[in-house]
Amino acid sequence: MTYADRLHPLTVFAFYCAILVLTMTATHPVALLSLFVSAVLLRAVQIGVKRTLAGVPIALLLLLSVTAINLFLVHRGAKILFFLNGKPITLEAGLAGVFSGLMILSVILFCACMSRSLPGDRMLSLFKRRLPRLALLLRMTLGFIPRMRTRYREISDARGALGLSRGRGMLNVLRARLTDLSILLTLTLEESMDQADGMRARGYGLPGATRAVTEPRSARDAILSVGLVLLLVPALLPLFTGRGEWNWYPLDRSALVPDLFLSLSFAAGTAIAVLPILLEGKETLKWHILRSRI
Amino acid sequence: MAYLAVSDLTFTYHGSTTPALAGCSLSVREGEFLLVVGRSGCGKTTLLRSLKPALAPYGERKGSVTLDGTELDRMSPRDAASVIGFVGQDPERQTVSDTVFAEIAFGLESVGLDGTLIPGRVAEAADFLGIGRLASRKISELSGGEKQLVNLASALALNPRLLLLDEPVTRLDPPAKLRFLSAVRRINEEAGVTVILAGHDTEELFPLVDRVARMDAGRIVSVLPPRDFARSADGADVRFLPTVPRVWRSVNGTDEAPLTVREGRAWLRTVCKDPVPETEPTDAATPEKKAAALLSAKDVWFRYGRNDPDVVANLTCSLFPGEILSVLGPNGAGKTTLIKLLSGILRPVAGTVRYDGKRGLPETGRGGIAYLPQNPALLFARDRVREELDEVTEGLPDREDAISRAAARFSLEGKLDAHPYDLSGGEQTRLALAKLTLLSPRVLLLDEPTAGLDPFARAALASVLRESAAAGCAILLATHDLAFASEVSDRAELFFNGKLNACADVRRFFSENRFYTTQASRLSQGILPTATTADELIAELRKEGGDAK
Amino acid sequence: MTSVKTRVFLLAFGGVLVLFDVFLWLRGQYRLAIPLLAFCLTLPALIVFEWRRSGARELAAIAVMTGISVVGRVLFAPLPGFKPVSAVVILTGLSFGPLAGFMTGAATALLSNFFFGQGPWTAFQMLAWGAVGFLSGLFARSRLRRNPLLLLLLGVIGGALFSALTDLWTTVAATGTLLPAAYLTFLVSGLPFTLLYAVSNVLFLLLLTRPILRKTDRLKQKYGLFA
Repeated sequence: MTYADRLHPLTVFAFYCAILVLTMTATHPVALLSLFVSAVLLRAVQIGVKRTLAGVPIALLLLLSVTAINLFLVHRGAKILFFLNGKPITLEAGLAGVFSGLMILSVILFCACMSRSLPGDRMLSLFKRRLPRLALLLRMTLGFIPRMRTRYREISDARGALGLSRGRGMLNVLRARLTDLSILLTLTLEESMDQADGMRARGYGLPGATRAVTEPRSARDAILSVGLVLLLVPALLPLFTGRGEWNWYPLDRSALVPDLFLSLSFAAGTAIAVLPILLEGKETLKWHILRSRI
Repeated sequence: MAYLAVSDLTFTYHGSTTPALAGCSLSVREGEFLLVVGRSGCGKTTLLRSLKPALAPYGERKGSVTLDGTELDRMSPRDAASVIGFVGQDPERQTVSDTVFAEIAFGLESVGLDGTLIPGRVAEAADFLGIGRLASRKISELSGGEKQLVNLASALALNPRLLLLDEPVTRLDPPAKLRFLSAVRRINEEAGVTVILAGHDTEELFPLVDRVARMDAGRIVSVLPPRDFARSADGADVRFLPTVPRVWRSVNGTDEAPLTVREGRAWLRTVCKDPVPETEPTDAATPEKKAAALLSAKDVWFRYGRNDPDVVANLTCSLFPGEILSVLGPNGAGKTTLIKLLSGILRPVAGTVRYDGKRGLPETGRGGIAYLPQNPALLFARDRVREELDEVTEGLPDREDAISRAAARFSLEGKLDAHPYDLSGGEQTRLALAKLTLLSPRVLLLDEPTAGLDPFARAALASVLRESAAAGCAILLATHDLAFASEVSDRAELFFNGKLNACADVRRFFSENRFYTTQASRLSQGILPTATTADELIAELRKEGGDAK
Repeated sequence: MTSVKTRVFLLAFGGVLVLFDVFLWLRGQYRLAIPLLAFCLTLPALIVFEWRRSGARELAAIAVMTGISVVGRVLFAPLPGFKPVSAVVILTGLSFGPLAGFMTGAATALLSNFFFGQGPWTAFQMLAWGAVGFLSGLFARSRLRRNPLLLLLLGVIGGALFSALTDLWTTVAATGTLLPAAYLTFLVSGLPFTLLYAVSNVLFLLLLTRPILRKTDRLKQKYGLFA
């Protein structure tokens, strides 16, 4: 049980949307760094330190390649390191690359965290109110997928046991697989028509459909939502006013230390990302203690 | 006045020339429980669907249907959705949601019930059927029987006055069948809901229903209370009767028909005044003496994952040429796993499977082991029956001839140009078998081959299997259909706790088991102990009657 | 089918997103503006799908096609770039029309990324596969439907569009700008993959078109789907 499971999905979704918007619009190195650290911590709280660290090699690879891309493709900047094919390779481009990489990593981490806090079916319950058809389509498909996978195995087993669906050579193997896939398609299409009848029998498609109220919003949701709005306003001010926009070309070292306005704004933004860490961390700790007492 | 009145209903499917319903008339009282029997393709499904506007088939329709005095077409769609409930045959094919709660709520949401009232209504329906504890479970984790109960609950939540059930239990094993039918009975008795059920499962249903309607060629031929139905049944109709009244009807059939085993035994006592002494069943020459095993498993263990429980534990069994062996057991016991191990689809974790005395299994295909999955449609890759058969004739000298011979043997001559999916369940099973036998296998492994077949299709399947065995094929079938197993097989074994437990001659198996046995055996135990199938019992009784004369 | 309130809500929601996107664009916040633009471009189809009054069977058929293409993507995951997704989406379009094609493509991207990882790239994949499905759907009632040249063209367009849009995300994510030189470099360096996409699309289409169109045609006839 995680903390997010006890919140209304909309609250969780709003939090992650806010975090993602802030991360993808952040330009200042201080903001990027603090968001990146929050992302790593949140992931660690969710899946444990060991599994988080397991991602370090691939993250480094990504960071290096993004840096390299910037170094070799962007030739702006004053601090020239060396020339390659007559094109300047600059320090600024390199630094911009490192921070681009951190931004991408943060986005990937936050998205992974979001999928964990808000698994597929809870995510779908969000659309259900305003996009009921789309939600039902996705819901049905999600139901088909595991069934199709086992069914596919059954088909290839049954046909394989007869010596059908087995071929030698790449093209024959591919053809055999696709035959199995098309059997799967026929079978599932036929089944889905029965399923559609099951829906029609229960009045699907009548005007004025409602939605079972199963996840009422709690006081906790209200408090967190208000908190989110209160933090989001200062956090988004730089984006809307354009103040404190960071520019790598040219690099202005004096701007590296944010002024009071920016500091407060970054703090508010980071707080939005830190809040889930605290809440999830508390939950993890609580279960730890509970278990040790049992 | 009749609650539901169908008068002179004629219906022809779009693009078809022969009507599926031809002047069908029926009247049902409020609160009645009506069973509709008939061969597959006689129009049962079409009739049931014509009673539910949202499912009305696509085609040309004449005649009228009124429910509680209102013409069905005049009912508002919202009323029709909730007043008439429908549950279909395949439990896997009707659900749309992820959890049981959402599934039961689906109809309530569709008809626009106030969202705050829905959870209560869901709880009411689920609790009435005793599946309240499943509410937050995922549908995909439920057994077939549980899924079917969810489907019933989700129709029930809408508060129907008429419940239409189209072969709702043919895919379930005996315990699940009983559970579902007793739930239907409660809905009928305690809530007064009118129920119309179409199906072949007369064994369990005859004691429950008020009347039985027989359909033939798109018309209701007769509607009678079960005992009267039994008395007036003759000719092919007898096949629709459960074992007890069927035996009764074939031998005597003039006074009050017995419906349950209890009534049947009482009747049998009056017929056979002096019980035949219990003879030690002759242990018919064990096949071991006849020939060497064709396929055998020795000390086989299997589990799906390292930390999963054993599905097969230390199992040993042998299959001999020319015999039919039935592996019995409920759904989910692991019968399918056993078949997959024997066919080489799965490899044992420990132990060996030998084919023809050699370790390991043959390159499958021609002349080897053929496996018929529970759903025969898994084998169909083409758009016509003919092409389907042609897929496996490669390498045969005269392909056209082979196809027409196979089609004739499995009575598919008229269907060669049909789409495999447009065949009935029995025809699909026969097509799959035809496909398998074109590969001239030496071993046939069949998984639940009788699921969803009507009595005629079952009889046809039994004779096809016996022919193949007579030709030297070794056949193993996994089934929960005891009557079928007792009819066709030479040996029967009970799969329980990962092992095959009783390895006996089929006659001995069924005559010695008290509970896990056929209706015929239950009926005759201690009175005529040698009969295990209805046909044997009838023959025995006729002989006895003849002796007396 | 949908209530007026819901319609107003959806239009307002879409409007706000578009305005926000324009604002981001003006601010030079391409990193968010471009994925958001891709998402906004999928919105009209999603909203039209919601508003269309069409039956349970159509919905079920689209769900099955989406399921097949997701399962195909997962089954073929070990082979990079070699996926039947575009082919299935194209064939859905050819069978059931532009909207069904779009929905299958978009839903495939969204759902399969529950297995492969969600991110801003999801929006681009939704748009790429959705657009291919939509384009194919325009030929659903045409006599050219089974024309190998059309299939070839659709397969190649499918591969190219997928590369072009996903590279757009790579460019803007890595550099924060829409530097043409960088975009070009990505396109060129990704050319082998683009070719692989195109070739595999065409191959899958060659092998799948006949069986799949026969099945969907039979379904349309038997159940009166998408009539």
